[in-house]
Amino acid sequence: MARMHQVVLFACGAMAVAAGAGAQQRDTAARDAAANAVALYNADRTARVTGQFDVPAERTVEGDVAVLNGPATVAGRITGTLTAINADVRLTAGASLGGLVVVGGTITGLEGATVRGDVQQRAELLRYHFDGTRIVLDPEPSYDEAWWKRRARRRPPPDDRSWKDWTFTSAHTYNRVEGLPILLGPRIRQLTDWGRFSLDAYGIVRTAGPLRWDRETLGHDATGELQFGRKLGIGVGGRTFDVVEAVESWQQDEGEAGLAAFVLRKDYRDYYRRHGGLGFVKLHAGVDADLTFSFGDERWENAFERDPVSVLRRGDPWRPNFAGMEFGNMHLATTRLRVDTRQRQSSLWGGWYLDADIERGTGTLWSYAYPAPGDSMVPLDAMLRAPTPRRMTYTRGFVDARRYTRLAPDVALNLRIVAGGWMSGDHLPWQRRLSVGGPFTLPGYDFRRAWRVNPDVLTCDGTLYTGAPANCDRVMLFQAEFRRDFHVSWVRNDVRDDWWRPGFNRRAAWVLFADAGRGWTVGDEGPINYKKDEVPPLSTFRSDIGAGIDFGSFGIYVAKATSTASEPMNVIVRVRHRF
Amino acid sequence: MAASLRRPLLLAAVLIGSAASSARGQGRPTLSISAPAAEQVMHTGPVVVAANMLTGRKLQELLASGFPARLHFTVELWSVGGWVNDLERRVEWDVVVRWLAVEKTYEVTQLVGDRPFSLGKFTQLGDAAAAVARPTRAPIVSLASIKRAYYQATLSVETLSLSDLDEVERWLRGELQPAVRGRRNPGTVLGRGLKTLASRLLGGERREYAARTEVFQATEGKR
Repeated sequence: MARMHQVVLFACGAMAVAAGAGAQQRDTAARDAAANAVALYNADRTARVTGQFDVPAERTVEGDVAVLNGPATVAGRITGTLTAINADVRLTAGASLGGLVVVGGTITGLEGATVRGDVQQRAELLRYHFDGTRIVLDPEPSYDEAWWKRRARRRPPPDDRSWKDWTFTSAHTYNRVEGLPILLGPRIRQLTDWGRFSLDAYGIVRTAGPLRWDRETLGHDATGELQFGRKLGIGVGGRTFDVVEAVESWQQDEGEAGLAAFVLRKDYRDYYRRHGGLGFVKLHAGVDADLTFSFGDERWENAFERDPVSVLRRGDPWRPNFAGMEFGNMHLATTRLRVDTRQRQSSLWGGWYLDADIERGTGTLWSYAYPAPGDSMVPLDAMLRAPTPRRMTYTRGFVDARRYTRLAPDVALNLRIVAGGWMSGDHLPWQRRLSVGGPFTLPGYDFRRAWRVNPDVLTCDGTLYTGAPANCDRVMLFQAEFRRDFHVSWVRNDVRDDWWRPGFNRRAAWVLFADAGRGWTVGDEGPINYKKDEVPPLSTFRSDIGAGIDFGSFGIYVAKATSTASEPMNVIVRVRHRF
Repeated sequence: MAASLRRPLLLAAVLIGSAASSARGQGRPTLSISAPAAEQVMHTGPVVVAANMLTGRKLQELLASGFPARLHFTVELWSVGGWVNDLERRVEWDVVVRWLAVEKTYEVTQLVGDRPFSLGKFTQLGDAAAAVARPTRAPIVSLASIKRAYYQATLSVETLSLSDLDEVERWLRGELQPAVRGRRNPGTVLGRGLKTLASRLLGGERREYAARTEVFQATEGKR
């Protein structure tokens, strides 16, 4: 007659976290079970098995057996104790065991089997290490911030190795001046004892038609840097370039700008050409922060829209790239600070993003007699014949500061302030003027359509010019958003996730947001003019509110201007987070 | 008109019904976290269980095609405040599951701190999933200074390793060269690229799960 077995379940973790006075005793017993399992495994008389272990119905195993990882399936007989460490044990009807100790695993079929001794079980994973053929129980790890910081250190930074290759890639953008720029050239990353050397030297081929083998189609961009010190240090380098540059790149990243241009034929940026070189000194603190001083000598030129293809609205004309920008030679001295702690492992509560720069420009810029608002049109030949020079010196500053804060595990409050523009000297050239309004700054307002906004504090009357360029000397923008994550599972789920099934199965976030901002010019007082030491009152700012769903790779938002009642509601699709 | 609509509606109904009924037939991935008893919260951490994480045909196909699955666990201790909760502590670890074609086994490895810890090699995917689901205690105890707190566990499941992801990103951006950098066999580039593209087109190769405990109040207890 089978002896009724005694079952002692030292369930732990998820299976045994029951409140009550016995919890402490159970923990003690669980530790005893773990120690017992280790002792049984290390005993000289014990047969040890790593991996799958099967005892068929007709077989008898003499003595004690210890199984690591398993699974252990027993249909026959084990005269001694079966010890399973981090292994599941499956007993079939008729199985017979001298004893059973399971740590870090489950037991099935116990009711149909015969166990003559004790049954001990602890579900929680057992941590151990090998000392020769023996295993040694690891102490339960205590909390130590270094525990996960070590993990962060273990991840090598992306460029923590030497390599070189020949790159053929797109510039990750698309626009009405260049089409799809193709980059071709070598890249080198060479690590040394004292730091590293990097070189990126690209030739640029612009695909916008009509294709001509001149500077409209061809360009270059090469940067080399010697970096002394790995984590903290200083870098010295230079760059030579002949590129097409966006006037206001802060509003929208290149990928999103390119997608809007390629698919919708909406190019939200204006461009000019830069041809020259610069040298720089960079103080860097890991990948999170750097401070760069650069001095360059370059020639600015107008860039004109061409006719690259787009998926939709192929028959529509592109928005003109403002043809009135100045051209000429400039000397630029720039100081730029970049801090980005959003991805830092130690940023438990979110992170900071700061991008600030001060630029001092000196040079002579020429401009054609481009018709100003209200002027009668100037004949084209007169414009082309009569460029006039202007010697200028200006200082311009710009700050984009963001704070990302987690209020709860799935709730975040993100804030952003952008402020920038003229600081001193002459009037800013067109290439350095600013604007707000549109999907990326004030989505409740249309992009560069300010006729409902009077006075035009969004583009500072830039919309009166062909192409509606940014015309503000200064801008200020506040953005706030409240996000809450949720999981959307509609028709699809993790079990049935075939590609052909309709529906969604992914994480997403509700987003509530509010924005306020405006631009102004510096000068005598007027509707959009303020003195150089004045900031417009907040009551003059344009504001909006909105809501949307951010699916990560894309988001859909609805925004309504609150300070301009006649501005209709806008629906915006973004392929990035709002900021 | 009615007849022309009937077929697509019927097809849609079958698809939706199929998805719903099939889902009922399998164990759904579940992440759970259990706080220790109130008198133990300052001495021991919560236990995390990730059950049925290797279910789903697409994930299994990707695993069988050689894409390792990376399960990244994060456990956080949050204190309850008036308006805003505060994140007090956090620990992270990984479990990697990969198919070893030569041995025809699934290898499960836990990465804690600097050290890989083998959870075993298994011929059956179900056994590998059981190894992933072993209850794991997170070494993150509560603090005496916290009156009310809770634990939050999050798990992201990716079917590509980080290095693969980096390469995939470059590959998709059109940078063909990095795929043949180093001593890799260029003959496999096309295969890797096609697999990568397939995984991306299939979509959803990254899943996220979250679970949290009830709010607890620590009481003094003996270790």
